[in-house]
Amino acid sequence: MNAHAPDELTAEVEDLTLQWVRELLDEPDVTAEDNFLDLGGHSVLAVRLTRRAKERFGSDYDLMVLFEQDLATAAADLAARAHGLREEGR
Amino acid sequence: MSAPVTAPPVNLGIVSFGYAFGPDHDVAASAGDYVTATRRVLNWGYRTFHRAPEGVHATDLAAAAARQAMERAGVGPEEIDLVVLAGPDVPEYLAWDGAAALSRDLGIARTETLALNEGCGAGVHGLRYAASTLAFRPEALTALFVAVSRVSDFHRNRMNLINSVLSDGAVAVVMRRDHPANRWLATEQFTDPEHCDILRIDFGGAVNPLPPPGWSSRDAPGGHETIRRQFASDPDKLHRFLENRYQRLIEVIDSACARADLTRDDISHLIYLNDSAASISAVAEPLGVPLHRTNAKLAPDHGHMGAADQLVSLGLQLESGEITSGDLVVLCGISVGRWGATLIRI
Repeated sequence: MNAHAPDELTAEVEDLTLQWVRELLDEPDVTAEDNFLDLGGHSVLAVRLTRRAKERFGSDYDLMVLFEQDLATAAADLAARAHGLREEGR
Repeated sequence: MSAPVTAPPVNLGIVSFGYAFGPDHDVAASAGDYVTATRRVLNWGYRTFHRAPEGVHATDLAAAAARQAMERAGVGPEEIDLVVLAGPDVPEYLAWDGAAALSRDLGIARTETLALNEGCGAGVHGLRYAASTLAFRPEALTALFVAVSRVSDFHRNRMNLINSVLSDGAVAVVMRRDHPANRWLATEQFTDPEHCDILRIDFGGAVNPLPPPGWSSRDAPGGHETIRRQFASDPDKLHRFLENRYQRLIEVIDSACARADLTRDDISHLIYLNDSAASISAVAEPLGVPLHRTNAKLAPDHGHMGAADQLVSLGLQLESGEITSGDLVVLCGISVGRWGATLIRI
C-alpha cells in the first residue's frame, strides 16, 4: 500500500464505495465493516465496481483486498493509491 | 475465426427433452453443513439445489434423463446412432468410459459414443460434436446428447468452489436429422489455456494418486484460495482475468451468430450457466436481451448443474411457453478456460 491518503480523500472514497456497493448489489444495508463477497458480490460486480473507481479516481481497487478485507480497508487502499497517483502528477 | 457460412452443415433438431434431478434441498437450511460463511452463500440468491442420495451417481441421473427423452421421442435404443455424454468433472471411476457405461444402461449396442469432460460448458459446445458427427455420417439419423452433473462430495465442497451452489442434475435430448423445430444452427468455441489448472483437484490422478492424510473437502481450501495463489501478486492480471470472462462470452456469441449469418440483434433469448441474476445480466445486457428472456428465473431453484444448466433451462422454458416457435436462443457458457456458444432456432 502507498502512503496514507488525506483523511478527506479516504472518507470520500469510503462513502462512494459504500454507495456503489449498495447500488450494484441492490442491498441498502451495507456498512464499512462488510466484506464484498459476503454481501453476495462476485466477479462481474467487482469489475463494475473497479470501473467506477477508475473513472472517478484514476485508480481501481486491489481486487484481492476487496475480496478478503472489509470495505473500509478496500476503500482506504484505493484512496492511498489514488493519492499516490495525484502526488506523482504534481 | 473461420469465415461465416449461411447454412449449418447438417439439419438437426431437438425432438425431445428428458430430465433427472436429485431431491431438492433448501440452500438456507443446508449452507451451514458446507461453509461457515453462510451469509455469502445465501447472498448468491439460490433458494434450492439438487443433491442426489448416496449411491446415486452420474450415470444413474444421465440414464434416467435419457430414458425420459427417448420415451418422449418414441425412440428405442436400436434407433440411436450416436451417444454423446457431457459428464461431471469427477467421474465415477478413472480409466473408464462414461458414455459407454450410459449406453450399456440404456441397452444401446454397437453405436458410436463420445464422452466429453470439459466441465460446465460441455453442454453447450458438445452439441457441435453431435452435429459434426452426423454431418460425416449421412446414414445416421438420431443422436442422444446427455449432460450431467453429479458432485463428488468427497472431492468438492459444493458451496465453496465457485460463487454458485453446485447441484446434481441431468438433461438429455434426442436430436434427429431434418427435424424442423429446435434446430441447431451453429456452435463456436475457443480455449485460452493459461488458467486451465484453476479448478483442478490436485490428487486422484497419476501425479498425486492419493489425497493428503486427513484431507476433507469440507475444510479444504476453496476456489477463492486458488484465485489468491494464482493472482495475489498481480492484481492487474486478476482484473484482466475477470474482465475477459465476460468479454470473451460476447465474442464467442458474436462468432456463433456470424457462423449462422446472423447478428446479436437476432437473438431473442439467452441461456447462460445457472449463475446469479447479476452475472446473467452481465452477459445478456450487452446483447440487448432483457433479464426476463434469460435463465435468471430458473437458476435459483436448481443451482449450478454443471454442463446440464443450459439444456435444462431451454427445455423447461419451451415447456412453459416462455420460448416459442421462431425464437433464436443462444446457449452460452464457460468451462475452465473455454468459452462456447450454440444457437438454436425454435
